Amino acid sequence: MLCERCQQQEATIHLTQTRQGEMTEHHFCDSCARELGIGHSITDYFGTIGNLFGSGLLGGGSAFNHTGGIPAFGAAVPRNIACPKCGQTFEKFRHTGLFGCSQCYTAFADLLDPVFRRVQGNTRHLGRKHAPSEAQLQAERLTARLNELKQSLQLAVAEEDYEQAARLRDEIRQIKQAGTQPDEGGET
Amino acid sequence: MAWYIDQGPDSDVMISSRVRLARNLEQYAFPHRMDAQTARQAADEIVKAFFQDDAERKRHYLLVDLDSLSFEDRLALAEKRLISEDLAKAGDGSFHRAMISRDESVSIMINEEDHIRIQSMQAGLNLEQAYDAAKQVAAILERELPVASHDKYGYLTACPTNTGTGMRASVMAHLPGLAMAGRIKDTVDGLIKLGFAVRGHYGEHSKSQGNLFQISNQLTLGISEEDLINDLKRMLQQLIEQERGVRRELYRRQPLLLEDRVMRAFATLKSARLMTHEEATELLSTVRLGMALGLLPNLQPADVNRIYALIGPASIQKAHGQAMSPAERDSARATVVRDLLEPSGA
Repeated sequence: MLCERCQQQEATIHLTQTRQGEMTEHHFCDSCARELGIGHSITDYFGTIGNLFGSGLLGGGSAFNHTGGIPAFGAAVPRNIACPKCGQTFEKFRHTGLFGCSQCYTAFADLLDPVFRRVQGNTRHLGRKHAPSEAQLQAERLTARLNELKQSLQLAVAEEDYEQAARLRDEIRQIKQAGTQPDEGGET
Repeated sequence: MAWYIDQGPDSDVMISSRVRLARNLEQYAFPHRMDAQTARQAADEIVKAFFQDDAERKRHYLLVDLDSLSFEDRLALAEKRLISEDLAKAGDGSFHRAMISRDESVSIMINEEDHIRIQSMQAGLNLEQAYDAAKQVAAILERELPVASHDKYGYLTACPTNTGTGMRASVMAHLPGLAMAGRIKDTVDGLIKLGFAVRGHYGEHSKSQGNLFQISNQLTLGISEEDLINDLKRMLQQLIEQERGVRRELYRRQPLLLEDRVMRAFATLKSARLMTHEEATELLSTVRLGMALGLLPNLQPADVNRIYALIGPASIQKAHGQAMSPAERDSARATVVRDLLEPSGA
C-alpha cells in the first residue's frame, strides 16, 4: 500500500482514529509520518527521555525534560516578550517549557501556533468546552456593565450634563469596589 | 473501589485504568511561579470550593495536608498511586494538598504542576468509568471556581503538553508474555509510532519492573476526550489479544517449563524470608502470568494487585512505623508477602 500523502513510498504506519465518532484510517510512509509528527515520542520504553522536538531545535542549557523542548524561532521573533500579568518572558517559557500563568497564552499568542503544532500536532482545542463558573459570568456581566457606564459617562461629559456624570461616576466606583471584593486577585 | 482490591474487565492483562484531568485557576500564576502566600490562598479556595458544606462529600473524601506528612508517608501514597511521585517528592511548605476519596478511587491533587489535578482510577480496563468520575469532580470545581480556559486552546495548563483537554488517560498493562517472547521492544516502538506514550511502573522517569508498563495518550489538543479514550481503548484491545495469544503459545510450546517457573515463583513468594522490591515485583509478574493461564486456580488478580500496592519501600517503612535498614525492610516485605498469600491456600 502506498503512502496516502506522498503516493510514492510504501506505507509503514497505519493509524485508526475516531474523530467526532467517525472512524478513519490513515496510511503513511516513515518520512511523511515524521513530517506530520506521528511517531514522535516523549519517552522510550525505559522511561528515559527522548526529544519530542527532534535534534538541533533547542539551544543548550534547556531545563525541558519530560516535555521535550520548544522549537527555536528565527531572529525576527521578539523573544523577550513578557506576560503582563506574571512577568514571565517567552524566552523563559522556551527554556523551562512551562507557562507562567494562564495569561501567558494570550501574551504569547502570536508565537504559540508553531509550538503547539510541534508539541501537539494541532493548534485548536476540540474537546469539552469549559462552562464558565457563576463567578466568571458575574465578572463578565460586571465588566460589560462597566463599559456601558463608562461610555455613558463620556457622553454625559461631552453633553455637559454634570449631574448625570456624577451619578454615573458613583455607580462605576461602586461596581469597581464590589468587583474587587470577592476576587482578591483584583481586576483583570 | 480501589484499583488494587477490585477486579475489573480484562484484568488478566490490564491491572488498572486511570484518567487525569488538569485544571488551573485563572487568577493565579501557575504553581511553579506562585509564592507561599498565593499557594496557600489557591489551596484554601480549591478545598473550600470542593467541600462547600456538602456533608456527604466531606464524609467521602479525606483532606490530606501533604506538607505535614513525612517524606516516607508521602511516598507511600505515591506507591498506592494516590498521588504523583513528583508531588510526593516535592519539598515542604508549598501548600500541597490532596483530597482522596475513602475508597481510593479518586484523588484531587492541589498545587502540583497545575493548581488542580483530578485523578480517577479503576481496576482493569475501564477508562470510561474512570473518565466519568474525573469529569464529575471537574464539573463541581468548574462550577465553583474561575477555571482558566481559552476559546482556541481549551483548558490552560502550565505545560503545553497538557493544553486542551488537560487529560491523560492511561493503563497499567502487564505484558509478561510479550516480554518472554522478546517482543517488548517492537511492541513499545509500535505504540510510540501510533502516538502513545509508554513508561515504567510509577509513571514518568521510572523504569519498567515486573513487566509493568504504563501506556497513555500523548496528545491533548485537537481531539475530544471521548475520541481520545476510544483510540486508546481500541489499541489496547489489540494489545490484550496479542499478549493473550503469546501467553497461550508459550504455554503450548513448553508447558512444563512455564509451570515450573510459575510454581517456583509462587513458592519463593510464600517462603522467602528476605525479599527486595525488585525481586518481589518480578516474582509477582510470573505468578500473575500463571494465574492467567489457570495454573493457580485459588488466586485472584486482586490478591496480587494488593501486594503490589503494599510492598514499595515507603509502604513497608510506613507500616513498620520507624526507620529501617534495607535488610529490615526486605525482611518486613517478605513477611507482608507471605501473610497476604497465606489465606488463599493455593
